[in-house]
Amino acid sequence: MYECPNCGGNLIFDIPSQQLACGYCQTRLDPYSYEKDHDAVVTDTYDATIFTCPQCGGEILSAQNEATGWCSFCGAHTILDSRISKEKRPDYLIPFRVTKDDCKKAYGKMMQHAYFAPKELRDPQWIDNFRGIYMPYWVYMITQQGHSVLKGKRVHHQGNYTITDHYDLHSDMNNYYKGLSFDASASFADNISESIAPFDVRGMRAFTPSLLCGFYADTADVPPEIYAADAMDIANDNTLQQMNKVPQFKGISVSKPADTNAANRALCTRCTQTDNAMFPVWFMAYRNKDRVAYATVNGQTGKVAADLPVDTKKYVLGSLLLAVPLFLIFNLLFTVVPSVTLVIASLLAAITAVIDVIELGALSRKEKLFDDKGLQFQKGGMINNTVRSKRSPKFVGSTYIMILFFVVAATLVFPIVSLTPSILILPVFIATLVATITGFVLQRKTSQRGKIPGFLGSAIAVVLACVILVLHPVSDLFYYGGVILSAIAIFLTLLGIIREYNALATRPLPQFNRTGGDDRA
Amino acid sequence: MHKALHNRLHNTGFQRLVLGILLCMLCGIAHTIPCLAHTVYTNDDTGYEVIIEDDAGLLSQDELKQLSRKMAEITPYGNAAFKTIDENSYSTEKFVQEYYSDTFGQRSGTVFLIDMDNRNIWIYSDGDIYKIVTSSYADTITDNVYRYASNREYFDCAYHAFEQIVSLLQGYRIAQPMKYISNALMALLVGMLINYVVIKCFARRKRVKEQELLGNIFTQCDIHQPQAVFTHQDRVYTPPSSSGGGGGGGGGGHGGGGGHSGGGGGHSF
Repeated sequence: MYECPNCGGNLIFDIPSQQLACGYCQTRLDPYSYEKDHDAVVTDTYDATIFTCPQCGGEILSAQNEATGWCSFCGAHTILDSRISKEKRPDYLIPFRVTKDDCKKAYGKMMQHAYFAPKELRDPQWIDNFRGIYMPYWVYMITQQGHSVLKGKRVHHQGNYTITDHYDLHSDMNNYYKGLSFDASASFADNISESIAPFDVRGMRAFTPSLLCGFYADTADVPPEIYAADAMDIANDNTLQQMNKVPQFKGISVSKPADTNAANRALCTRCTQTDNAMFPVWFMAYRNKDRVAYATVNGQTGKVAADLPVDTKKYVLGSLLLAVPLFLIFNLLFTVVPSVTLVIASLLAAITAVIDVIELGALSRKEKLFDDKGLQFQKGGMINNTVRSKRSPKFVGSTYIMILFFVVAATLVFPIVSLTPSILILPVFIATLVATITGFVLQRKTSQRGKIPGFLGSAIAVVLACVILVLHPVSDLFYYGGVILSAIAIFLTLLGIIREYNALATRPLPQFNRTGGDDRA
Repeated sequence: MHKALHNRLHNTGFQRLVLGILLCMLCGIAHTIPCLAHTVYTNDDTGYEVIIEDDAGLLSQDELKQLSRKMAEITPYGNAAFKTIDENSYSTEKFVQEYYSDTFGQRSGTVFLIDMDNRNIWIYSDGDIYKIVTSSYADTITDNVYRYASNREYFDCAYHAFEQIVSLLQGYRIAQPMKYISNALMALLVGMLINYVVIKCFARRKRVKEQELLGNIFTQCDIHQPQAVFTHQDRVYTPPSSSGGGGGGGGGGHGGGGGHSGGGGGHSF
């Protein structure tokens, strides 16, 4: 505990003034001068209190002896076990710049658009649970020094020939990238840390324990080797971009070496230094049954990232409300005959089946921990030099575009399908068939294995629609019956999709290799 | 004189009897023999006509008269035709388009067709009437009345179809259960999908771009003595595509002539 030299009161780090402040006598102290005054010899360790959650085994440390009665990782309201420990001193720390009030405002602003999130996530009392935590990061120094030889080519045309000139591009490199950072805690998911990045490492300061006063800190449990390849890959990418701008290489396209190791050799890339640093994060956990969602705010920049689960009731109600204006608009624009309605319903059923399969793919990816090297290491002890896949964001981005395209197409398709409804049913059937087969394959690879797949209802609805359209009965009742069954199937599929989305948007209760448990639950 | 008078009266009574029998036979025949095409009414003010051609012999004379009275209410706005056929080598839509063209040309009007061969009913309109009785309304009306045709109540089918056409022309509304049911279901489904897209969009996490990342660290990128050394050359023969470019633009030519602006809709029964 850090005591005020004047009155003995608790000192905490005051964010606006960036100094230690006493809550009783308003004394202000420079954090670095405090350490000099109290510690004659600066060692590579510092005294800290470790708080352990009895439920999930999560550990959090503090420079003080008191802790609030809930766990930041699993959200459990419980008395945390505490013990005094000597912890390894980090090299650097970025102090909090964003106050708790600013953090709550930033989070509240983001939540304004989270229409379907559970109401608890907007509850001011709940939002007050934001806790300032210093997260451990590895900060890499990457250098590229030496003679570099890369391949390059220039393509041009002459008559009926395409001519490619090949070059060896020689240069002497003297590059460095200091401050490439990756989170060093397995409990802090990579997708969260990437979302609140970047931290401006130019604001790093030498670590002193008094800077932790009033905050908590997580401990590093991922070795620095895990992300070294990623740091070198970023450096290589940037250097290659810079080489394309060199006047002597004008018109020549620099070829990227086949793999990371080849690129490292060609560009003389090395990781020369790794520092342990602590970066400020405002952190809040929302627990719902056996799932937990995290909300985080970058304590330096105020950038927000949060898991946003969906309240199914809100989603259904919101859809019904949205259906009212859509109904009025459709009435102004369209009169569709029952057979066309059935074709469009089957198209929408196919879309939901495809969406469901896409979500299953994402779930499979998440459950295999493809997107989180830290967690991968913790679960399987994996250490290798592979670079994290960069496909994920593009894949997700293309998913949004595809979904949006489908919805817009489904809306615009009314007048087109009115002319020849049967045109669409064959591609719809084929798309559904492909989606269904893919879905079954993917489902076997996820925790959803053995459950009735959500896309199956939509697939059956499409098949039923095809049968009705082929038989072409006279009575409208058959078509309406098909549409209503499709609507029910789509509704059930979408509920399944929301369930899968919630599984993606939240996390299983953490078990930090202490009490067992199943992270894939 | 009494005898002569008696004979005359007797002859007159006999003639009336014969005439009555003949009329009855005619009526009976009229019910089974297809009716010839004829104009049954012409509106003196507008010149628009009511034409009935019950070639399939689906309606009785009384029903045709009743129908023609209802159809006459259309003539302030355009021509009206009722046509039934029991043989058709074309599609119903194509037949009705050609029939309209042959009968009314480009004048305003509407045709209600019962195609017993393809088992379709169809409404086709053009001109001023088509501006009101659009293809959507034609779909709606045929959807409203197809059940009569399915039950072989052809008069009711045609009568209610023209009744709804008259209602529209007079500015009234007609029931559109098909439209509302279809649109309600579509709105619900599209609403659910749009909300899902909204959820995905707002839950999206932007991965920080490498350039943004590099803007927040210490960097130096010094590339000295750059030198490009030519090593070898590849030549690949790439002949021009055989698909070639398109031809020149077409010449002037006359503006589009004629053609129908009309349309309609139908339903099987």
